[in-house]
Amino acid sequence: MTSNENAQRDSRPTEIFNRFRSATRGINTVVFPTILCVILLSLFSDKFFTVENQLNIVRSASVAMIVGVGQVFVISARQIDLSVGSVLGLTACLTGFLVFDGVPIILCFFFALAVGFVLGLINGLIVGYLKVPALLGTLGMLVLVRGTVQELMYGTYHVRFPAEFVVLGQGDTLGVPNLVWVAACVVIVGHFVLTRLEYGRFILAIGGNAEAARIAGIKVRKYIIISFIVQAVLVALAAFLLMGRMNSAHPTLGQGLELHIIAGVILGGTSLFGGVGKVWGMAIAMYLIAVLENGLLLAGAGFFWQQILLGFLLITSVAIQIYRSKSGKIDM
Amino acid sequence: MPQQMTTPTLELRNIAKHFGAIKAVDGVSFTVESGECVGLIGDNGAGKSTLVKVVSGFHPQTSGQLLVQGKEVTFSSPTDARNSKIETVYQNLALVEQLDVAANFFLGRELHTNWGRIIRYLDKGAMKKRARAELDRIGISIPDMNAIVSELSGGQRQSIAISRSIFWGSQCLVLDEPTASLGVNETASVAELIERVVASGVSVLIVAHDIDLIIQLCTKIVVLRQGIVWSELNASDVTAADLVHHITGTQRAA
Ligand SMILES: Nc1ncnc2c1ncn2[C@@H]1O[C@H](COP(=O)(O)OP(=O)(O)O)[C@@H](O)[C@H]1O
Ligand SMILES: [Mg+2]
Repeated sequence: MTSNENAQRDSRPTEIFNRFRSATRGINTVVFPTILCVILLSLFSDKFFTVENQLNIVRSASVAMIVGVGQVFVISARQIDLSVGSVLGLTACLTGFLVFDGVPIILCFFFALAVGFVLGLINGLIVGYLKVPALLGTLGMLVLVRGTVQELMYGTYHVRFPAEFVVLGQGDTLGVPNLVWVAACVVIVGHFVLTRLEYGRFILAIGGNAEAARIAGIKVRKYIIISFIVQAVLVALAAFLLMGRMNSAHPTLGQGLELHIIAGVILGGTSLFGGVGKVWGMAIAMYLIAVLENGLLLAGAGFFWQQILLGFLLITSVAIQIYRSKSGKIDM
Repeated sequence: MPQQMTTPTLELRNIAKHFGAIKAVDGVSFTVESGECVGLIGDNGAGKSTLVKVVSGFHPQTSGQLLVQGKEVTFSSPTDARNSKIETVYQNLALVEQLDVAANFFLGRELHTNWGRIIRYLDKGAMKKRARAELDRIGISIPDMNAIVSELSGGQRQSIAISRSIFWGSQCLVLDEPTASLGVNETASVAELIERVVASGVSVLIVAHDIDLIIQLCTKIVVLRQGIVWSELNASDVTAADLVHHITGTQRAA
């Protein structure tokens, strides 16, 4: 075929259709029934669409969104990080000691990020150098880090931080909660990095076909380690804000978080088989999960129902992905 | 010594590759002249893929020398081979199926915008334009440049992998089983593409089971058997039936 014919085939409407198709390709089908549930909930409650209620929901989703950005990177690279909840707990409790010692807040902030950096580096080295599969390596870290923070606190917890610290997690700026501002920035930057920067391209290439990436000269191990570090540093950022929001830091903080995060990431369209990452999809999924949890709460169903919901969402969204990858061309 | 017209693009001198006690390749010598298409054939386990991996920098050889344009080279990675202008299209193509055509074209060699060198901001528009121009130039039809590779046919994928190698200025293209998974029509169009590549002056070393394809494309045929060169033949002197005898070991010409 000549280039002329090619050019004609690329006429505007086809181009727009193709663009639409590539933009919607990664959407997890579970999103649609989930959206339906949200609409039903909103019909039953006239308070649902008020600005105040929406901001509340987004605020309760913002920690999951911040942590979720890191997990999108990790899962896109065909890895997984189960240790996020434990890293959150340890970072918050360690930083709590500094806050009470009167260390300036800005230093506490960098200390928290440094703790995240080190824990992420450990995860990365376990997977990259010891070659322990991420599922088991980070499961080991989940238990190990949780044990460490429990031993460290030994039944105690931090509570009632100084007011200037608490305001970071509880306060508003221009009428919008600080947590929401931070989550919005992290989601926007995360999306930019994954879709526009070389780092994101390498992560997707490694997750899609690590062998091809290696042949192309991409340093696979280096980028996998970086993705674990990014994940843990974002967890540390979330920990820092959450301490203020709750005005406390318990050694159990973040328990079970990994399930919530992974459910949202997969529901958002990121492929469990690597190579496809959706930061926006994850943010929307976290919002939807928060709405459902909020709705359950309003309906008088408590924490256990939230767990049932999360488990159910996780299983169905993974099942859908596996079903579609069979009818598609990804082999397992 | 003055550079001669006849310096081979690629010369193998007594190349051996052993995996412990397994002598996968055991002293192989032949040349690929400039602009020549050499076919490498042999039974399963003869050592073809192993030899390809030595030439493409995947495994270092156990012994022997590799010369590119008359100069001895040692490869410690596929990047080294690529820097010597040897590009390899592997049996599994080394494409990332979840990424689009342009992303695969520039994999590991991405273009960046001027202001974005530090943050490594991808110049997606430029990459897409240049990939499209190159595909047009060598006559490959990919109607939708936004399509991801898993949506393309086997022939299109093979064509993309080959044209990617040509695009990066390879002087020697190494193809491992380029038509193994293709239908009749797709095989024909990939064969046509390889002919165009050879006509443009690139040297090609091709491994294939398809004897007719090898006779059609190549001028020289090297038959490997148990890690050694069993026969070296002129493609114009042999028939497909002859080649089968060489492959199975009932005839020899070395
Ligand atoms: N990485 C390896 N480790 C050990 N043995 C190998 C390896 N790669 C190939 N071999 C052995 O080397 C021999 C030649 O294999 P190969 O080069 O794949 O043959 P061909 O491509 O001609 O079918 C076979 O006996 C194979 O089992
Ligand atoms: Mg082989």
